[in-house]
This record gives sequence, structure tokens and C-alpha cells, in this order.
Amino acid sequence: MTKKKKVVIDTGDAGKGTSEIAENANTQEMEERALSVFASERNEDITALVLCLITTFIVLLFTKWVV
Amino acid sequence: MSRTKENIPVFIMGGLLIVYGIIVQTGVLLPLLTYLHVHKSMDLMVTMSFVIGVIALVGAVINSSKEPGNSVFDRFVLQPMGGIVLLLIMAMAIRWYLEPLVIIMSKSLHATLGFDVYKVLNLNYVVLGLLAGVLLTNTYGIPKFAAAGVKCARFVLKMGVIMLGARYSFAELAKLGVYSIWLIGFFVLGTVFLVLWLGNIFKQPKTMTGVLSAGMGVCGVSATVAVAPVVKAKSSEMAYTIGTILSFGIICMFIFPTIGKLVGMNAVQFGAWAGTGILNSAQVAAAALAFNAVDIKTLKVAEIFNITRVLFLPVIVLVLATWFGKESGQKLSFKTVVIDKFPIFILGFLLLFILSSAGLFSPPEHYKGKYIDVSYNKRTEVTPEEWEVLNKAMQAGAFKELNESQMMAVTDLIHQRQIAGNFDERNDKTKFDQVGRARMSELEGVLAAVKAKQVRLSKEVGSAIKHAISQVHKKSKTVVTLTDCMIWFFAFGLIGLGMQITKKAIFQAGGWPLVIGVISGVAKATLSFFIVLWLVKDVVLK
Amino acid sequence: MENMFKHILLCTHGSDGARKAEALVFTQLAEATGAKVTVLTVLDKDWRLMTGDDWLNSSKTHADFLDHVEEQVSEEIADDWNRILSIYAKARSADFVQHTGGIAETITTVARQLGCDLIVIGPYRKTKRLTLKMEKGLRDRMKNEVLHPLLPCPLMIAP
Repeated sequence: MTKKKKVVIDTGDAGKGTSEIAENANTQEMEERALSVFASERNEDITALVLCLITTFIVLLFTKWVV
Repeated sequence: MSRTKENIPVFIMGGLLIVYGIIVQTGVLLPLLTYLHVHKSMDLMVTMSFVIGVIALVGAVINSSKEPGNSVFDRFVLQPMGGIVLLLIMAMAIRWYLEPLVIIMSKSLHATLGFDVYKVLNLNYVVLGLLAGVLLTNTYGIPKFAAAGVKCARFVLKMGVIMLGARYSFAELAKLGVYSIWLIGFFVLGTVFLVLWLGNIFKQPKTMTGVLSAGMGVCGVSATVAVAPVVKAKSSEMAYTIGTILSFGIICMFIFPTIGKLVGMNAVQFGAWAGTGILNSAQVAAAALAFNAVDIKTLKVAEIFNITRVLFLPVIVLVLATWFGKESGQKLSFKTVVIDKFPIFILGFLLLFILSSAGLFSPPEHYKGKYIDVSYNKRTEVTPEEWEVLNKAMQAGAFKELNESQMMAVTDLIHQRQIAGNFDERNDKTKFDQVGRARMSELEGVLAAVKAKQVRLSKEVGSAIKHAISQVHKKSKTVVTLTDCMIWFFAFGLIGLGMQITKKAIFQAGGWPLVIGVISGVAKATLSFFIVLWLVKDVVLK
Repeated sequence: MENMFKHILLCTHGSDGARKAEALVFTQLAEATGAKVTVLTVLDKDWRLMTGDDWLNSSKTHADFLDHVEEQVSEEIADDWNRILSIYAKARSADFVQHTGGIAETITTVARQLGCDLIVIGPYRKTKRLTLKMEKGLRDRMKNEVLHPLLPCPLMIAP
């Protein structure tokens, strides 16, 4: 007799490894598994880039363009 | 009501920040801050305390008055607020209080111990931040209110890497890129094969040597995590491998900078060595900043190596997948491994690099040129070693031959550790700037006199003065400010990443992975040390 | 001894100590008391903390990794249960369950849910640091300070 059950590290069901991470993947899943607050990797990277550009713009504004 | 209760820590932190900002503003703390040698950052302290304090208070009020939602604003701003503020407070406390205190304390222990603790262990704010993070998780644990915010760490670290892109020139990137591709290529493949071979000798299962070889060869835990599903590693193999790699990397992070300083490596050599020899990429950044946190040369080199490793990772995953493909019966295509997993933030790094190369960040009137900035900045200071050379020379009376105004400029350089105007006059920008520039030209006069053999100064003193002058030169205010933002991002990110290093993971080190890992890790570190010393010459960095 | 216990919760993860508990339950306790036995294996939730300070991988890689851990550990647990089944005839009538969570919390919660009146675990062993023997799962051990206040019923430690 074989007993086999799948153990689940309980984090919800979206964005599992086998499927692509959907645009609106379960945020909790991402938080628990990937230690990130973003719904997908692409969102995280793009947000990082946008925030960097905003920082750059503000810095440019106050150190080069306005002064 | 219970929501207000949950937000009490955030209220307290915000309130404390504002009170602290007010206290600093009144100048009561000036003696203490001068003693800690951080009084020049007072303006920044006040601004940061007020801005972060107000944001924290507003956030806490909103959080306690409304139901937690699932909107973008909720998820990315309101919920992580507590953790972000906590990390920022830790970063500020470490940078302005803990680091100077550690330095002062280890100097006072110098007499009994015979060496400076902070120098041997490289306890600057980056390493202290990482350690503080590790300590917090493993003792008290990450507080509940901060859990969501701490998860922003890797995101902020990515921002740091993107911002770093602004600091390279084409020539540097090309030169460093060639170094890194050769060194990383050689050592990645070398270590992977060494581990597989050692595994064969010790008769260890292929699944274990598979994960271990990726971890030791490419980028530590990241590679282990990426490769484990591909080679179908057993649970014990993953656990022991991760533990070994994490512990080995942490030890390297402390040992590498000390050895690098002992043998007198330059910034490029150390960056190349750390980038090749240290396993985890966060630890590479920490070691680079530990080697030299005053200017960011080493970090620039090390991060190029880091990025090269990241780009090598998919290749290794593919190679190991082919190696184990027959057994696991799993097919991996180029698309799933390389394209789907391509780190987009590296494109951001390139974008900032292109913007910077296009001259966007240099002052309009001087393209990458003779812009002079004499404002206060920790990073425009001379290095602690140079400061000691100058201070000793002053006490030994080496500057006797200088004229009075040159003497005053040198005295002030030693006093302020950088070329700047007078601290008391910092509010009068024009005067401050004039005094600073005058001091700079006096120091240039000193160098000219040395060159004309009118004044005799030792080579070290000359190079220290030269460095002080170059620190206020050549950097546009934009670049300086952008670099400061970047350093804060790195400090923030590394504290947060420290919080993800649990003792559970560290104590998991052991078994065969420890044996094979130590052999291959030490071999890699030693060999790369000699190859870097032999091959890598100083690249002229701006 | 008969009817002294109705439902025994046997906690095992296949280590040497846990095997002592298995032997105690299936060769002595179950026989003597006629109690129903439930075998519980806990998957330590802290596996998700094992990725350390890794920040380079995409979230998909992290998810893939934890998927693999789940699958792999499930397989290993299944192997373990088959081992128990092949050794002890008495085990055929037992229930086998597995849960993910903190070890002490999960054991006590399951015991409460199933209405168990005895929990059996293996003895505390000192983990040898310098050994080449690799054990399954994480090295971390359960702490008495955590377990004892949570207990819903007596705890028996196999000698």
C-alpha cells in the first residue's frame, strides 16, 4: 500500500511554479514565497526603475535645473 | 480601536523622528554630534527626520482609520509603511550614531588590544546594518508591524543597483566588463567542475553535487534555489547546501576586506576579488562597501562582477539541466530559463548608464569637467587612512615649510577631513563656497610647491592632499546627490536582507556539502586572489 | 492499560529518535490500549526562510523552489510512511496525516482537532555538529518551552 499526499506550504494557489505568474496573482502568495510585495517580478523591476527615474528627476530638478 | 493599537509602533516612530528633528534643529545636540564627527550631516538629519516622521504619522493615521484594503496604495504604501520606517530609522541610527560610536570605542580599546576592532572587522555602517538585521530576526524576530515593509528590501537594493548605473563611463564599463567576463567565466566553470569532481571522488549523489556546484560556482544561495528544482535535489541536500553556502559567505564577508587591506589591494583589485570569490551577491556588495565606504570605486567594480554572475546563472542552470536531463526527464528550453527569468532591473541599470553617458548629470557649463563642490558630504572626505597620515604629519611638524595661508588650509583639511567652508557659516552659501574654494586653491598651491621642490612632503601626504582635491573636483552636484541616494538604498536594502538570514539556515551547515564546499570555496578564493593580484591592474575610475 | 487511551498521535519524521517512538507505539501502546493511532509528519514551515538573503532570483524561481521542496518532502514522507507500514503490521490500521507549520504548534493543533488523548514523540537528541551524516529536513529541534504550554493532552517521550 502506498500512501502519498502532497504537502503544501500554504500560501494560496495563484502563481505556482508550474504556471506563469498572472498579472493579478495572489499578493499573499508573492509575499510568503518570494518575500516581495509585488504581484510579479516584472512589476517589481519596472516599479524600481520608475522610482529610480523619479528620484533622478527630482535630484536633477534641485541640483541642476532649478539652481 | 484595535487598528489604532496595531499602529502604535508607527505612531511612536513617527513622533520620535519629529521630536528628534526638532532637537537637532535647535542645535542642542551639536556638542554630541561634533564628538561623533557627524555634525556636518545635521541638515540632512533634520530634513530626513521631518519628512519620514510626517509620512509615518500620516500613514499611521490613515491605517488606523480605515479597513486594510487591496488597492495599489494599500499594498505598496500603507501596509509596508511600518517596516520601511523601521529600516530607515535603523539606517539613520547606525550611520550617525552606532558607526561613530564603534569607531570611538575601538580607538579607546586600541591601547589594551593593540589593534582597532573596527578596522579588523570592517565595522562600517554597511556591515553594522547587515549585522543589526541578522541580530533582530534571530533574537526578537521581525516585529509584526514591520513584516510587510521588510520585504521591500530586495526591491530597494535593486533600485540601488539601477542608480549605480549612473556612475560608469563607457571606458570603465568596457574594461571592467572584459575583466569580469573572463574571471567569472573561468571561476564559475572551474568551481562547478571542481565540485562535481570532488563529489565523484567522495562518492556523493549527483543531485547533491549539482546544487552545491551551482551554489559554490555562481552566486550562492540564489543559484542553489534556482538549480534545486532542475536537478531534483533531496530535502537534506538542499538544506545542508544552503546552510553551508550562507555561513561560508558570511565568514568571507568579514575576512575578505581585512585581507585586501593587509596586502594593500587597490579598489579595482579588491572589487574583482570580492566579486569572484564571495558567494552571495548581497555579501559582495557589503564586502565592497566594507573595504571602502567613503568613495564607491570598489562597489562599482564589485557590482559589475555581480551583474556578470547574474547573467551567467541561466547558462549554468541550462548546463546542469542538460547534465541531469536524462534522469529528471525534464526539458528546459532556452526561453524558459533565459528569457523568462531575465532580470529586467539590469536594463534599468543600462538605462541610467546611457543617461549618464549622454551627459545628463554633469553640470551644463562643464561637461564632466572642472565643477567644484565644496559642500559637506561624508563621501567627499579623505579616507580614514589618509586622514591619519595627514594628522601624524601635522603632529610631526612636516608642514613647517608652508606659508601661513597654506598652513591654515591644511589645518582645516585635517579638522574637517574634507575641503569645505566653515561649519558656522554654512547658512551663507556664497561665503561658504568662497572659503572652500580658497582653501582648495591653497592646497593646490601646496602640491605645486612640492612639485617645484620648494617644499618637501612625504609621498603619502602628497597623495592624501591630492585625493582631497580630487574629491571636490570632477563631481557634479547631481552625481554626488544621486550617489548618496544610491548609498542609502544599499544601506536600507542590506539591513532588510540581513533580516532574512536566519540562524535556522546558518546552523544547517554541515555534512558532505560542508566538506566539499569548504574545499572548493577556499580553492576558489585563494586562486582568484592570486590571479586578481597578477592580472588586474588599476583601471582609472572617475 | 486497556482503554486508557483512545486516540494516540504519533509524531515522526523518520529520525533515529522518532523510530523509537514508532516502535513504542506500534509494538506496545497500540496493542495494550487498543487505541486508534494517527501518524503525523510535520513539514517545517521555515523552509521558506531557507532562501537566505537571496535577492537576485525572480519570484518565479522562488516559487519554483518552494514547489520543488513541497514535492520532494512529500515524496520523502511517503517513503517514510511506507517504511513504517512495512515494519509494523499494526500500522495498517493507522491514519497518516501531514501538515505544514511550526512543529510544536502543528502537533498540538492536530491533537486538539482529532481529539487525541496522548501524544508520543521521540527523545531529545543532541545534534552533532561535526558529522557527515545528513538527516532529512531541517536540523532545528522543537523547544520544550514552546511545546509544553500548548499541550492539550499528556505527552509521552519514547525512551
